[in-house]
Amino acid sequence: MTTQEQSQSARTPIIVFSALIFLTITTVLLSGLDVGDTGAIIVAMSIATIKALLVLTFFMHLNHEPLIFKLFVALAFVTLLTLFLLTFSDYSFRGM
Amino acid sequence: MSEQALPIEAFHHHDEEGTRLGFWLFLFTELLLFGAFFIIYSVYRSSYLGDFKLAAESLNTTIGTVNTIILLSSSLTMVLSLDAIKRGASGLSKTFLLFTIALGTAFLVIKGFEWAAKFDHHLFLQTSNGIAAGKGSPLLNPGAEMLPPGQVLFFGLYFIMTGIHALHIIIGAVWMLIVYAWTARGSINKDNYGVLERCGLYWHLVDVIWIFLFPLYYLVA
Amino acid sequence: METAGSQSYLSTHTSSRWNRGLLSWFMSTDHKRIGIMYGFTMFSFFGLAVCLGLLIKLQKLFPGSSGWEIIPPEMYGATFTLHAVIMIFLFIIPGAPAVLGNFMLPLQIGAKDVAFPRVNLLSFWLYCFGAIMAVVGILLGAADTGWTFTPPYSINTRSISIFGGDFDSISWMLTAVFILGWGTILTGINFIVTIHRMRAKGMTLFRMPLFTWSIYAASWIQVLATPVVGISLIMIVLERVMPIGFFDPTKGGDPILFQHLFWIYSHPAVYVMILPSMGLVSEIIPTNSQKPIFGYKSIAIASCSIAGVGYLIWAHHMFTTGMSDTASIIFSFLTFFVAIPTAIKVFNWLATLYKASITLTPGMLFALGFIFNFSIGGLTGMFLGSLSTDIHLHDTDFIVAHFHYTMFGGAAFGLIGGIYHYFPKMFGKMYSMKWAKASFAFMFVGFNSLFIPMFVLGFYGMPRRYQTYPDMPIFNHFQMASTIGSWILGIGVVLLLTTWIRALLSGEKTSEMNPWNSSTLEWQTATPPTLYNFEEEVEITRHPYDYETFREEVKKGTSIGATNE
Repeated sequence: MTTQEQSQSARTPIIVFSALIFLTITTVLLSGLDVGDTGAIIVAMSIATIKALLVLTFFMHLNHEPLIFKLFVALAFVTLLTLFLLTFSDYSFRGM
Repeated sequence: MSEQALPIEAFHHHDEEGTRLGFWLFLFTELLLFGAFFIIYSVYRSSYLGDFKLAAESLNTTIGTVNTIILLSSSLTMVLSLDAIKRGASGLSKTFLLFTIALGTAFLVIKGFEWAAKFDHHLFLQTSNGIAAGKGSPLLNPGAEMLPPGQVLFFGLYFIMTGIHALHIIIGAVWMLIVYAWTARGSINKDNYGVLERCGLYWHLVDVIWIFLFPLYYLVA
Repeated sequence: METAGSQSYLSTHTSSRWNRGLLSWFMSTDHKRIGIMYGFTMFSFFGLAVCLGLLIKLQKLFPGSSGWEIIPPEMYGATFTLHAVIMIFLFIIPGAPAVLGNFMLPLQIGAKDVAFPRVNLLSFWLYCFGAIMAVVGILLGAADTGWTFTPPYSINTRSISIFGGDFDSISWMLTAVFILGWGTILTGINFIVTIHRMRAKGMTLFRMPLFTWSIYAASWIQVLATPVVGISLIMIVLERVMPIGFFDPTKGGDPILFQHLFWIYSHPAVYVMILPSMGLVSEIIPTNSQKPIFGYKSIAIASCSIAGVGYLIWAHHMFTTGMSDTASIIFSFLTFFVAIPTAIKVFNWLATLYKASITLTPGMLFALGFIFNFSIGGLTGMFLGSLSTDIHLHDTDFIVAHFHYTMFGGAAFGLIGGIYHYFPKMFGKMYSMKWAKASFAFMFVGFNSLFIPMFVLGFYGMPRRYQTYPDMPIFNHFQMASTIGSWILGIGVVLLLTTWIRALLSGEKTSEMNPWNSSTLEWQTATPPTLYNFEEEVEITRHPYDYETFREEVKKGTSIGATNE
């Protein structure tokens, strides 16, 4: 095993890690901006979603898994999203 | 050809990909479990927006950011540990594993201080109508100020969600200790690293959940 | 050539130290033994809960002014809670997947076992542990929240131990349900991985028998919905022991939010109960019609779409709670969509029966009973899914009748039919046909005369969960008809259980491989199956219900199990 191969395999995780740290600092800095309540949530959650996708794809190696794994993960997240949307079909219209 | 009866497991060829698939399914249950919490959080945030923002101000963003960076770093060392064992470098793998455990512990210690500070400020177990037990109760501490219901819900959720998250960190750390021992013994090696891989998946999922917890509690004040 | 794998799974086969008596069962990771253990435990609980149900109906024989009291008012809530908790969490949710899914799923796809045999055993232990906890909890503390644990009542009520003193039986039960939930989650994970990874050569997804398809759909619900309710129940426990108010309105919480989280699981859960039974009906009907099932693919896809749509309609349990009108309209609209895949299945079954040479085995009788009962249950569900009629019918006996038609007349009839169908294969013993058919007759007649009057009672405003009712002819007559029906049903259940016990103890031994002449894979192996299910690697070359090819294969002696005969 040459040192070159070693550094090769460690390169992707380190790049991904740097991106994660960069996004963390970005989201902290952006939270200081006054973009309204909805704006703040959208910004924070978008950055969190990108970070989560990075971890899922590279750290959890979904990029090397067969298609069925990706479909399953998509199914789980779509389910969660559906539960959110339908619950808020109640709470967004309370008292109307 | 009468032969010694074997336990049924002996007739299974080991299906690594299948085991991983099963483990991902288990991770989905964790995801949905926290998903329920996120639903509760969002509903109460939308009903008590002002209270939630006020309450969130009492959480220290710097501590939260430091903890996020610690947890992300532990995910990196976990990846490197798996990477090392795949290349046959068990020693390196063990070192990275120790780093991961250390970072996880650091996360817990910081979280512990944060919790302790909240307890001291009577922000736990206090209800708006004053009927409460615990340290922060106005019944026991007549001087303590009353919190409005929205803030009580915020702190209730904060303690339960970070508490259950911390429980997952502890489980992950214990699991890593076992993995460490098995690597040292040689039963986890270049050709058989499934346990380490699944432990890593678990650890990363705990990280993913924190990635969402962090902005919801520390950044949206 | 006697190898370990060619012995019957019923004979003692392990070389470990756990090879004697009951322990060889309780420590076994063999999917067939685990399935049978589930069967025994579940039907014991079923018998117990039927007795409680009979007691409830006996109470309803007398109006309030008569002075007769079988169950005192303060115990009535605890009685129906115990009836419901046992029936739902210990009997019908594990249901067909736990008994027949465990036993038949690997056989149906040509696998040696499930993907994770030890996890499978763990599921069973979790089930036993949770069951003991639930029953002990409720017996010691007489919890009367109903099986839905709706706050704030479930947070504030304190149950009194029958031995005096305070015993928090509600927290016990909630924790027990949480543990039971993990048992079903692990079973679901096991089945999904088994279906994806362990199918025999040539067993493509669209060559899988329909029971396997229905188990697959149900397993996804178990994996993705159970955690949501698990954590909500744990939050109720936390609220009971700590002064936090997630769902307590006096502390700022919203009790309707709990109902959302509860029904997010518990509505899809009714499809966990009914889908496997539909799968069993889809096995029994082509076998006893001796022809391919009509619309195989549409039934398989309907199973999956029932599971999918089942996620979108939970709040139709909550139309009267004070939820927003917008949500009510959306959920009512979505509810009607679930009728489409369900109706597809019913029409496919009927089309299979058309011009077939039908054999009325006990399994077939229960399958036909399923179609009849489930059609009533499903159609009355449409009444309840409509917003305006639901306001009138909500929380009346109409709802009680509706869900008993789906759960008992549907899910349980399907399961019982499935057990009659697979009984000879599972145990290598045959039951008495006469007794079996008598058990169907009594159960079918008794069931319908018990619950049809309850539709009428509910329509006339008889609320559910009431211990008593006013002395008026309309109530008196229908309550009496319903109670008499419960006695007929009781006789039916006794006949059912005795038929099985008699068959196990002294039934005629049979090693006939395929008594009903079915074309699916699980019948093409020894009776009872050997430890490793199939003697050699199987290869699938045809559609599961291709009876024409199957008959040719049998004639030529090239069918998969032919070497065993």
